[in-house]
Amino acid sequence: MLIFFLIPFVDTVRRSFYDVRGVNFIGLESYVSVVNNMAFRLAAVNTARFVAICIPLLLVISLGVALLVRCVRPGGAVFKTTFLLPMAVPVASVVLLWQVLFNDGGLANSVLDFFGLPGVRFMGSGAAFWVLVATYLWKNTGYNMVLWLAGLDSISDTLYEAARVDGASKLQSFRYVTLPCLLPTVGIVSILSLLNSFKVFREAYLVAGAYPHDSMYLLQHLFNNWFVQLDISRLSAAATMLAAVLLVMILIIRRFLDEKD
Amino acid sequence: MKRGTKWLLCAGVMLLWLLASACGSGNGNGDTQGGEDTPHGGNAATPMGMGTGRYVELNITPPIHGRLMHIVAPDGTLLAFDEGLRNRYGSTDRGITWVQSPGPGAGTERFMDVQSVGLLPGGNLLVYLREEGMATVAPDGTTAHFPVPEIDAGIADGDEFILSFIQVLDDERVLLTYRVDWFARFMRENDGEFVQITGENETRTTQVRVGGTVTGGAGGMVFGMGDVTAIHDIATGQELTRLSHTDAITPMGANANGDVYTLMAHNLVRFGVEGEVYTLLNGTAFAFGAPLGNTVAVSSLPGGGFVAHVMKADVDEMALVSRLFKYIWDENATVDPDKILTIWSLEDNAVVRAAITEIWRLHPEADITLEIALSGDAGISATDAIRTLNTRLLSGRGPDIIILDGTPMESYAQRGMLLNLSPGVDTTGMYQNLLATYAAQGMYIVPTQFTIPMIVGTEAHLRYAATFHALVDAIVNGNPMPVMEAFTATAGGAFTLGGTPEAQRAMLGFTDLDELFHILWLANASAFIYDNRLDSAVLGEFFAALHAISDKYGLGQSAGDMMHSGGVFMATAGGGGGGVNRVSMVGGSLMQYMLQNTHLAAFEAGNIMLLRPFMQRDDSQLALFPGLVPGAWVPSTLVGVSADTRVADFAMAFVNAMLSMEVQRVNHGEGFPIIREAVAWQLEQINEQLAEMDGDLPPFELDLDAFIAQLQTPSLIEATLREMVWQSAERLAQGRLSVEGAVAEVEQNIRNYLAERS
Repeated sequence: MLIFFLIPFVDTVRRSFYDVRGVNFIGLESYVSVVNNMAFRLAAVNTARFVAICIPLLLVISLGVALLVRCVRPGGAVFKTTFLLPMAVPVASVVLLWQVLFNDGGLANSVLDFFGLPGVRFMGSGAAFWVLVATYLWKNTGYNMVLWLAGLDSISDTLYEAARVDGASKLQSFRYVTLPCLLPTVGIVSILSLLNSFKVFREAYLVAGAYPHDSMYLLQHLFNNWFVQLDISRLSAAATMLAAVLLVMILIIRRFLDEKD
Repeated sequence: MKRGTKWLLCAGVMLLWLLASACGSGNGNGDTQGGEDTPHGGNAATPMGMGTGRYVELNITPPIHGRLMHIVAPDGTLLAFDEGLRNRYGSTDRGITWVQSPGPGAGTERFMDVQSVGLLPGGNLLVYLREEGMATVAPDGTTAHFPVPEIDAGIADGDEFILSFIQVLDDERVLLTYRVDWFARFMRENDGEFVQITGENETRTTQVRVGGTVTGGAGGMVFGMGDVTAIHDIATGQELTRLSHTDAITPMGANANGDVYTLMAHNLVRFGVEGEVYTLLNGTAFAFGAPLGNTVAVSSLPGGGFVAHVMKADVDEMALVSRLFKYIWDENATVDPDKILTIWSLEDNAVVRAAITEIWRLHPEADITLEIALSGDAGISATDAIRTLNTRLLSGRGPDIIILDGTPMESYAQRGMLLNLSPGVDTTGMYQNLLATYAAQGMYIVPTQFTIPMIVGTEAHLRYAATFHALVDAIVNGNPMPVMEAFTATAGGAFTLGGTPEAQRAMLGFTDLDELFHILWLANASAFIYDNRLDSAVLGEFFAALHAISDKYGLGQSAGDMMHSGGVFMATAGGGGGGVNRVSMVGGSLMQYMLQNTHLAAFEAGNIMLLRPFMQRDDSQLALFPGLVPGAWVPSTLVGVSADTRVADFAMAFVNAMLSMEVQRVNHGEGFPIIREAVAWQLEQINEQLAEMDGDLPPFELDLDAFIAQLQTPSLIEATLREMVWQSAERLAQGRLSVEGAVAEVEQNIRNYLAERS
């Protein structure tokens, strides 16, 4: 923890107040420059939009899949494994799949063409963002499903028995028994989903390079490019700000869940 | 379990985990050349700069001017012969002193074709004589036929043999490497009968490398075929080891212990028995690694050390001359700690290597390491290499010298990572107009070579190229490109080696869109991307011109093709132009012009020697390619010194070496020299060479200084920007985008790139 996380983090914070060589103290100059930087603003907005859309969607879809898998008897294990398969697919293969599907002359455009619809530049238009969202959901639904299943398994059957005796419908059981009991799981799944959302950069970078379409230009693209440019002071400032925002978000989630408890 | 025990157990597991992680980090990123050797086979080898002692290079060339042949006798005696075996030079003290005596060829021309000699146990020589076959030669010049059935039979059939290697193994066996009709095979003599021992490599190939010295009849015989080297047992011919390698290998030597030494990627390496490769000597510090050197033989010396026979281009004599170098381990040699220098370059660069040779000559006590990030099978991208470099720079363990081509050099300079070179670098001989851009507020980046986008044609046609727009109009209103079916003339095709009739010639020719884009980019990019902003109106002009030319010549159809067919290679490096081991590519535009299919040719000029043949057509003249910026030029081999270097003075001395006449006057194939005197010297040498070849040839008169004086604007050489614009240009040429659409696409793509830097 100390070697791999805390010391590098403290060094990053320190560098955000110094010039690139780490010799001269420059105060908040890097932070001001970052905040005024158009690329940072775009990347921050895109990243926030991505998180705001993906995390709720992922939570809902993966919970739905978990409930579905749990209901299926027999064969639940087969479905469970199937939904987990995307996690086992290497990034390089995912990238290949993207290219086959979403290239200008790819499979998706061939299908559109077959139905007489105009082609879409998936990687060179706003559609790129939604491709990224779909990839994230496809890749992470299985993992979240497993987390939800663990949460669902921890709910005692006696609660459902009591609800049924009291005349509750299945929907009411879900609303008044399942959901409240899943609240602790919601916190964990949300935080993990948030952190996993940053990993989608690998796919985005490998497919579209360092400068993708505006709609999928994320903070990691900016960080990566600033590192190549050796713009370490601004990179450190932006990273520190991002860490602070993430910390606040996690604290809010925790606070919300604590209140619910 | 007690709490303390649990805690200890947990800590132990954590430590194990950390250790495993550290071990798993492996070999690093492989961005440096070479490795380390361990003492082996009597040749102690310690990495340079570590501990005491190191290999030293001694020039032991006997007083032979020109090409020589050398032999290391089993007892360590060195023998050398000049051309035609006229003189014999012997040294019993390993090259310190030589004793000259008349050779067997004294007073006769009979041995003038001999290229390789072997030493027979009685003192006679074994040579190959044209149209006669193998022969023994006594010291007095008398010869006797040495029967080699296959060679004898071949000569009887009229075959031409080239004996490139003769090694006498013992009384009864010799090892020959020869080529017949440009194919090669290895043979050995076994009890009077020659047996081919090439194993499964029986296929004739031109890829065979010359085998090495085998002393005392022991050891293995080695030969390489392309990227594979096999080691055979000398007695049975059985293959012992097979080595795969990505870098080409040159002549090899083996010693009595079976150690095999060879040159790989400019370094002297030893092959281990398991196929591992140990770098013994880093070529950056020695003559065999010099860019204009061609090592023709490596021999190990009995008792340790090596001899390398290097053919070098003598820039003063404009000829190839032999040099014998001896490498011995000197226990007392030390490295000056103030002269330990690390040089980083994304790609190999002949100017840098030449400067290393020069600085090594001036400072033999120096230790210089050249790191080439994209060399060999490192398998990393340029961006990965730059990330690694940045990490090292940030940790304060970066290289002292950075060759900045392909790096974010302006960012390095702006962020204080480079040293101001103004106080220590002598720029008086440089073209000051070229330096001006880099020396405005301190000199952090120094270009040492450069190229110029140029256009060649007759004076009448060059009038059409007065401005960019005039040239585009002339192209659009001119003839289409002659049909180029193939390089051979066809009955129906208009493309012939004899040229197209003048009235049907196109104004300018390009083989593909890439070539057109390249020249337009060099001449114009600085007009629409400057001061970290994009000028969309000028970009529109650029795209409109590209679109018009592309449509005229049908280049859009070739866009996206993987194969570019327009270039040919020409050997062009050396002194004023003489030299052997560097090639330059000639673009399709120039080829079309030379073949008289077009009135003009556009190209990136960076090689004085190459200019002459293109100006031989009619009354050709040169001009700067007219662009949207005045006087575009392309800086190359840009050098900077890390601000964190601990040897600033020596680093500046290295930059001065790069700018010295000794380095600049040589045509390295990387561009024009940035030193005025060197340009003049190269021109002078070309004319001297012409005069020697044929006194009637008119001198090559070219006032390059006049062109260079017009240069004002460095071209944009940032690869990412170029790629972004290229993508839209390609779609524009293919008709998938309009000019407005291409401009909009570039605006969109480039926005974040520019914003990041604001």
